[in-house]
Amino acid sequence: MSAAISSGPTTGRAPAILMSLFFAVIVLGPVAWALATSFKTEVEAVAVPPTLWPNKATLENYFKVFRDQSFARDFFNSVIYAVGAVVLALLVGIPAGYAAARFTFKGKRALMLVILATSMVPGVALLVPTYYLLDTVGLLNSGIVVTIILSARIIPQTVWFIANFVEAVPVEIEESAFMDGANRFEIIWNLILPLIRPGIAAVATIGIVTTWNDYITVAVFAPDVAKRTLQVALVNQVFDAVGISWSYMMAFVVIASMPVILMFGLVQKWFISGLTAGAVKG
Amino acid sequence: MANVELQAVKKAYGNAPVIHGVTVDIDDGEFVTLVGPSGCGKSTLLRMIAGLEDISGGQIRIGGRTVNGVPPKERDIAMVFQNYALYPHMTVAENMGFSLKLKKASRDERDAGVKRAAEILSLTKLLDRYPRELSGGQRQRVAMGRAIVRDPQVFLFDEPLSNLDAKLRVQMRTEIKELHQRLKTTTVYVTHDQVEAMTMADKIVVMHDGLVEQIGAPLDLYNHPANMFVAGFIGSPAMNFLKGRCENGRFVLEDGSALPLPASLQHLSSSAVYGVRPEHLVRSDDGLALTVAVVEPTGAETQVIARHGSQSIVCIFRDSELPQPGETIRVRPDVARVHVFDESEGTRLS
Ligand SMILES: Nc1ncnc2c1ncn2[C@@H]1O[C@H](COP(=O)(O)OP(=O)(O)OP(=O)(O)O)[C@@H](O)[C@H]1O
Ligand SMILES: [Mg+2]
Repeated sequence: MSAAISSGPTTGRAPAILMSLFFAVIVLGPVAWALATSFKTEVEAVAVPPTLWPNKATLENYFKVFRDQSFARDFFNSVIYAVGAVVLALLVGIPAGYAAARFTFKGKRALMLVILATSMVPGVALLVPTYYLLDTVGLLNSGIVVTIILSARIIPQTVWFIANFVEAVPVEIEESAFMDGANRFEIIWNLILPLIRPGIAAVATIGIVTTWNDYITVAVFAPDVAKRTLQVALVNQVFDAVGISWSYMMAFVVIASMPVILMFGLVQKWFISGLTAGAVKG
Repeated sequence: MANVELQAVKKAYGNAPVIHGVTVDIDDGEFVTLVGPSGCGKSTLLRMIAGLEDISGGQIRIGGRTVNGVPPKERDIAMVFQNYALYPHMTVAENMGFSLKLKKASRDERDAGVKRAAEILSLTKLLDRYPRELSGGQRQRVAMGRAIVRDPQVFLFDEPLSNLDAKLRVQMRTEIKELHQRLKTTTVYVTHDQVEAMTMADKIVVMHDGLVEQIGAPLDLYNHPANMFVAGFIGSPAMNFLKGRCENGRFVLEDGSALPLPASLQHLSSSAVYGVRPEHLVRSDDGLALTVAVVEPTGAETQVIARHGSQSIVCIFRDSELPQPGETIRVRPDVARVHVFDESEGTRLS
């Protein structure tokens, strides 16, 4: 590249754009492949050499997924667990994060670090003891217990995120409301919640994605077929089926990913401003 | 409306005392400014009146009722913050009506209250805007509107104009004063700008390092400062201080030149500090010789920074004849307006 070009205003962006493209290909490549395969016939899906684009696109795989009796139930479970876990995490995380941001009390720093540390314990390390515990008290295969465990995994990050968002709200706004006659609950409800809404959208999205994509928690603690999620169903098919139908599986994968992708699309605007915080200046 | 009494009020953060016992009586309907250098505890004192800070010692009474430990919402006080602290997600009308909404006032009551305040502050056209869509002065007015709507016993202001540009600051200063004359609500107004304090107040409380230095009407403080701190803080440009001795009815500087003393101080004989305001120095052929360093004409008057030995002396002249830098001029203090301060204590001798 000549000196004249590299001193131009846009050249600084070229490497960044190249990098983005590179990662986009790595990430989107498999997604594109899955999407393409989901429209192929079973035969074409395993053809050698593989086709890049379906010769004859078909929706048969999608119909097959929807016809599957267990699909609706698995999907429903996935939704219930994910939404339940996130709602629970917010119910705990909003008051806790608010308290962490606004109150000073002895041992606050230590407590916050412990909360953070719990999210650093690898989930697998807890599998066996938790399984043993649940088995002993007879709580395996409980949807509520699975929801609580999933929620516990996202609560630490929720508390930390919310605390940061609340800190970005100038404290004078709250003091002003105090003078206006509001109590703590009215302040949280009327001021804090609306002002940190982008942040809540962001943590909720991250929480939904984490729990929706979970496999191991549900597989281990709710092995009952009636309690499984889409993710568990998917993996079961890989192992259970006598012959795997790749095109069917990819249609399944596409459908299973849809809710998360839709969710991102819906809250994308908030998500960005939520993560960049400080977006609450008067 | 109500009077506010502070009695030996103290504040400490942990072990660090910041207010060491402040006693001030604020009459019903009075406009009082708290003024002092940065960090002297003005905001802390105001926030204690508001109920946003605990009171570590002493008593605060509002309308005769002791409010130590009473939460803000039960004190019936409104406060305007330096950064306005408007609710960013609410319109101007919602901002102003928020307190009424919390009181569970009916829709009609709320609208009426907001409308009245909006009319007083000429905000009627802006009621549907959001704070981010307003200029600094308009935000300031909304913050005041929010306070007015509540019709509180006391208004508190914490440096409400410091985020505005100079011109708007002067304009809002007048507006706040007019507002007070109209509503007659007891007001405590914090500022570190002594001009603001002088022009707005019925009574000024000068604070320094967590203590009250002097309380009085603006001209009282200007004419009869209790000590060197007040003398130097009130008035702009600040009073000139010269070190020397009172001897034989005259004040003798270190280089031997002499300045006149008022009749009441001619009996003194001790080391002291001579204080004279820049506007009380007049040119006179038999005066103290000064070398002009900088000349700053502002139109109506001219500020001259001059030297007498190593001592810098500021003078203000109203005549149009400008001295030149390097020139020697002779000035004489208006002896009736001269102050002499004790050298070690800083208190005014009279
Ligand atoms: N939360 C706090 N913890 C400890 N010290 C504090 C706290 N708030 C204020 N102080 C101290 O109390 C003193 C008075 O502070 P204050 O804010 O009242 O000053 P101020 O007169 O309002 O100054 P400024 O003109 O800069 O606003 C300062 O020395 C400050 O450092
Ligand atoms: Mg202050």
